[in-house]
Amino acid sequence: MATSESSIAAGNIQEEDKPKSKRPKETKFKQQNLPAWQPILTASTVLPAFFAIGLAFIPLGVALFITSDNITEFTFDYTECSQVGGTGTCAEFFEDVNNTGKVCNCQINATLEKFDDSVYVYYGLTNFYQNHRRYVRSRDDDQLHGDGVSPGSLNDDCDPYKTTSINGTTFGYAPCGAIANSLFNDTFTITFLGTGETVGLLKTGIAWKSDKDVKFNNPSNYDSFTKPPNWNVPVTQLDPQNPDNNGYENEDLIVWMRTAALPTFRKLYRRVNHSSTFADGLPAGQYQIDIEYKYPVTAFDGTKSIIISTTSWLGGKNPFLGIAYIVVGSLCILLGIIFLFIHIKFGKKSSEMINVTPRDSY
Amino acid sequence: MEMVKLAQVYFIMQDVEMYDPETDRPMECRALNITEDLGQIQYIFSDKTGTLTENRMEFKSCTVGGVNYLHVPCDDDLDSRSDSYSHQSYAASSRTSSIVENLSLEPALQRELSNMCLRSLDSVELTIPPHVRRVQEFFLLMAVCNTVVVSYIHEDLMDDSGYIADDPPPNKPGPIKPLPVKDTLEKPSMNKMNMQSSTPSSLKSRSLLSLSVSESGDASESGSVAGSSFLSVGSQRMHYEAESPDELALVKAANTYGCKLTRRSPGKVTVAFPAENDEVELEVLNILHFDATRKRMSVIVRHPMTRNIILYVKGADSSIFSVLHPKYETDEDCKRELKNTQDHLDGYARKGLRTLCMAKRVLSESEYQAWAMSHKAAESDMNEREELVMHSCVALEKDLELLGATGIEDKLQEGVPSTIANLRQAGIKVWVLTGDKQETAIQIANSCQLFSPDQTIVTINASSLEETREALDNALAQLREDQKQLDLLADSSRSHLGSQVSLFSVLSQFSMGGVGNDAGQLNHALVIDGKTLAFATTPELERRFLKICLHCRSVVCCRATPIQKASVVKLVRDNLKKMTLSIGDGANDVSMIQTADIGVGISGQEGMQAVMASDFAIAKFRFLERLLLVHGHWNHDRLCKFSAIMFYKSLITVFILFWFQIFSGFSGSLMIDSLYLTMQHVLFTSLPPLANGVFDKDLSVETLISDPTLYKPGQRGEMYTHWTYMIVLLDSLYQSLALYFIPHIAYQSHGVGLWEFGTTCDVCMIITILLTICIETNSWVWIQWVCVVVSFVLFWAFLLVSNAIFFTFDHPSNPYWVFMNTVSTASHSSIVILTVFVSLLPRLVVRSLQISVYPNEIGMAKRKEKQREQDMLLSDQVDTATATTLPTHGNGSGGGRVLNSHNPSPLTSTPGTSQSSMNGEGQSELRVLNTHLYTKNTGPSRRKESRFENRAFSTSVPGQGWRGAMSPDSQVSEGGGDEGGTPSTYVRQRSHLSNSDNSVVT
Repeated sequence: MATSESSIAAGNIQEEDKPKSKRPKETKFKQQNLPAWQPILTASTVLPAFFAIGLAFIPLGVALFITSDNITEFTFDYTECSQVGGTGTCAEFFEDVNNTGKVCNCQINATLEKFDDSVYVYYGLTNFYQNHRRYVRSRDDDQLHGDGVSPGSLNDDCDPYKTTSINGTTFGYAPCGAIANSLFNDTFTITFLGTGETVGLLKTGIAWKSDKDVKFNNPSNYDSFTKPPNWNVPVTQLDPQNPDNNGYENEDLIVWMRTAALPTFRKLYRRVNHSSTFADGLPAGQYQIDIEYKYPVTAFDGTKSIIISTTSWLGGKNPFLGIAYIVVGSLCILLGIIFLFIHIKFGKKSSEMINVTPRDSY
Repeated sequence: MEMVKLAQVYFIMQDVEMYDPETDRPMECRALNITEDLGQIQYIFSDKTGTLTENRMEFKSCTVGGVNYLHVPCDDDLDSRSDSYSHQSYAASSRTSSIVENLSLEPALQRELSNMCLRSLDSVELTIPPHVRRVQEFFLLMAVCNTVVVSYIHEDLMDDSGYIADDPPPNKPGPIKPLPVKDTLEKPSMNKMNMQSSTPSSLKSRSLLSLSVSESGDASESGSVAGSSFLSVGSQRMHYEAESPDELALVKAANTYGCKLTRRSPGKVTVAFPAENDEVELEVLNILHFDATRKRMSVIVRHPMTRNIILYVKGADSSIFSVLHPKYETDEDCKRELKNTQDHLDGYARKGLRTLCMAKRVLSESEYQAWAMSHKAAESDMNEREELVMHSCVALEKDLELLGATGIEDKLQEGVPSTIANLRQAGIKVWVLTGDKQETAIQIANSCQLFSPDQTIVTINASSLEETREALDNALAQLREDQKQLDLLADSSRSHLGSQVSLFSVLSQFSMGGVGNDAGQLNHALVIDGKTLAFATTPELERRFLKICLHCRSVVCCRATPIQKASVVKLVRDNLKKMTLSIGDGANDVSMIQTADIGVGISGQEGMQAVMASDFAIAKFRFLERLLLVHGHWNHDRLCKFSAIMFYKSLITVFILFWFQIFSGFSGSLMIDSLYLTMQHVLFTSLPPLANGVFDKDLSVETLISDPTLYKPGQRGEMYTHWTYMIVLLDSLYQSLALYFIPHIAYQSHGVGLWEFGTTCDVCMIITILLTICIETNSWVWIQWVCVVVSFVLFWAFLLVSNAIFFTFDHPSNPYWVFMNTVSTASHSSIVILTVFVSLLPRLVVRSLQISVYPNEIGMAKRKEKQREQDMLLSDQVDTATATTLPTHGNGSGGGRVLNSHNPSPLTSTPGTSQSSMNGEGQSELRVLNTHLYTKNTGPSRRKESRFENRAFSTSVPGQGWRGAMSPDSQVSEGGGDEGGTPSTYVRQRSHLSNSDNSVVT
């Protein structure tokens, strides 16, 4: 039939025109038909997860708790420590403005239990807002990095501890800024009264290696720089015993410059040198701690304390994590049980419910 | 946000389901930022012509001189119309019945037209009965009174069809010699008309050539832009181009009857008559163009023989009837004729036909000359040209002699009724604003299920403000009464629903149908005409009008001007504060489209103005369903979630930083490196929400389409309320507390540095945010996986890299090696694990409880979907099991929940049916039936019968789309399945229903 064939031929012509067609491509991507996984959170699907998490968390919490519990820690708040050879406390001593920059000696006698393994000495400060925005900013990392920064090009955030004028010449503070200026400078000497030996305290190895190696470097010289106003000694004489532990690379400085996150914080002061008597830690017994009290804290209602502690893989003593894990784990088990109940009660009901198609009501 | 919308728009446009192969038009999004509004539509304002209907006019019937010529469509035609899908088959069926137009010729008309020639049109000639003359003149008018342009395209037959005809075209085109081709075209209509109309096949050998030619013309027509059509004259192809499809339909109809418009040039038209060998040239003296005020157009022609000047007028019935000759009010015959015509017109309108009236007037030479002078003057006027021309037209168009009227069918677009039904099920109110006549509008509203039979139709027609007020008040009172009655009915639960039929009328302008709604809600439909609308939308009355509208489930405004359409939209949008969507295709819908929140243009026949003004352009009305129910729902859901996540992300960051302020002297200090905070929103947590915003699907397409009610939550704005934000706020508050204080307390007695603390907090926060997004994700495609993983890796890598390089520009933080020192500690990892879990716990619990215990609509649908998936897997297994054990037919207990949606054809997995359970036996039986039906379906000989079955089995028969599930029959069958009974009776019951031979089943 001519008719039918011609129409087919006409169809073919249309077929050839197809490439020009605006028809969207029928790919799975474009049609949003990609294979999809559609999980639905129901009591029954969440239930096993809760049990599993609960069962994992509780032992973990117990482990954490035991670890934290095994840490031996001694803390002594010496803010109101009485001055040796003086009338009042060292806090009172520093209330006298004339005594600013002077030393107040004080002494603590403490009975310590046995400290195993590595022992660390910390100083702890409270109500000290090292995280205050302006305080945090008040430093110059380039200067601490050892780049030859001129006093004029110090970070403006260092103000008012940026530059000073001595005899008409402008000197920069080395290091500049409020953080450095407020460097904690009390010193502790711990004596084991059992043998009369002084516990050897190491000044190095207390800062992060990365900080000591990269962040903090000594400049070639400290020309046209001077010590911060609150300091008694210039930055080059922070450690009289070890010339390598001076300048910006001084580890006490480095530790201090790593500002604390919270107003109550502790910072590593020294490592105990585990030799002779103290090879296995600190033996139990009477200790005398001599403190050169130079750092006033009562002005900002702060306190300061000395902390002697062992450590663990978890860090310092803090039972919170262990307890939290146990609590959350128990909660999960409880939720799991509740969900099981719900699943039994509602699981059937809802499967009946979904049998009722919405259209049935019409 | 904009990126998400952009991507959403891209994917909407890529949806192949909304691509129209006929016009080669994909979905087009012209506005890029309102995708989420698609999920909240409450009111749809639709144009009728070209939107609900195809705007492909077909001449259906006419009345001449009070005699009605109903063109009863042949069976074939009816058949193909009932199955609205296949256009191909439609074309095929139309080909057999008539050549040019899908029109079955009316024998009587053909007889009367057969001797139509120039002479017969001479009004002086008395040998011809006046009625016949009138008919002939009527057709001449149809052919002449228009602005259709005829063009010829020179084409070889071969190029045209791609097929070389064996018999060479025997014709030499020329006006003098009768053309053989023309002959074959005309002869049947002249001499063998009766035979032809009854048995079209008698044509076959003789008119083979012409058929092939016209067929190719036909084919190209179906593919080409409508408004033009090809007709063949020898190797030359005649091509009509008309401004309006109505004109085209008329010219084509006249052409079919042999009264051909063959050429039009300024000043004359050439027409071929059935009984005239030559083509006749008529001198056209003037064309008085159509305008909206007159609502009619006319031509003035000079009869070539009698030199009579005749004015032919064509226009809306009201506009013609108002300017008829006075004798129509006095003369009895004329009165009767007018009345008959009017009756016929009403009948046409009831059938949903567009009506046009034809009239003429014979002018005397002097009268014409006088008028021509004044008209010329009017035309040349510089200032008020239009008005003057109109007045001069009006001056001439009077004392008309009525010739007759035509009814043109404007076919409903495919899928319109089901689309409207689904949209309404989705809680969207559909209003139709049309310029058409009231009767036509109501008819169309009925046929597209806008009005259901049990609906009470409230009609408000008034001609003044006072009347309008009265009518509105009455309607309101009636509505209240009905409501009361309904309440009473519900209270007393008396069962005389049927007796509620209350008929009443107020001022004969207000009528009501029966009340038959047993739901406790009013089920009224409002019909209001343009004039009344003008009053109703005045500030004074608009409140009452709206009150009525609120009580009505559907509203039809007819005879509405474009500005009125816009004002109605504005009224609803502004006063009801509802999300509105306008859909239309023509220039007259532009204002309405622009006024609504969302304008949708149908890129159809009436040019591109509507599309240009629209936000979204679709090719067919039925695409609206998918656009709203699927894309609208998805995008609304996605954007709600997206913005909630964004809100959450910002909140949590801010809260964490805030908690830190308490411990840093409220100094505005940051513990998290500002660099991380900047990157957090840009890089670390941005990708997964973006991916979710584009790819996440809460429900599948099938579910959304099959259950339009799922659209309602979006519409009610349930996903995006103050509560959503309160919950997000509370959750982020809780999470931030956990995220801050767990590290805080855990680190308290450690000598933790500011930046280490911040790093731990940040790691916790990023992981928590990412996992929260995971919890909120409904469906996972690989892109979302990749995004989550990439985000985390990116974060980790960024921290590693930035902490491995010494730099000081990020003052005050100097992150060198901070991350490594932090992460390497055991406390960091234990804190992170604990914190993240504790933060996510409430959301996890609430989400799972929500779906388990108090599932909302979407949650339920989601579970249903999941269930179905599992059942599908199960049924696959059972299917193979039953296939092997079929002969022994194990009883249903073993089969468990088996669905009939396991059918190989993907189309059959209709969600609606999936819940009906049956055992293996019934299943296999049904499958046998299915295959039987399938083969039957393919056989054209029994098409009708198989279609009937199809409908009955629409839930399970392959080849019938998901739409089949909407049909009431399927619900019946579904119910049958659910009610139980043995499966075999179930099938038999249905086979009964379908009238098919039972032997197949048993």
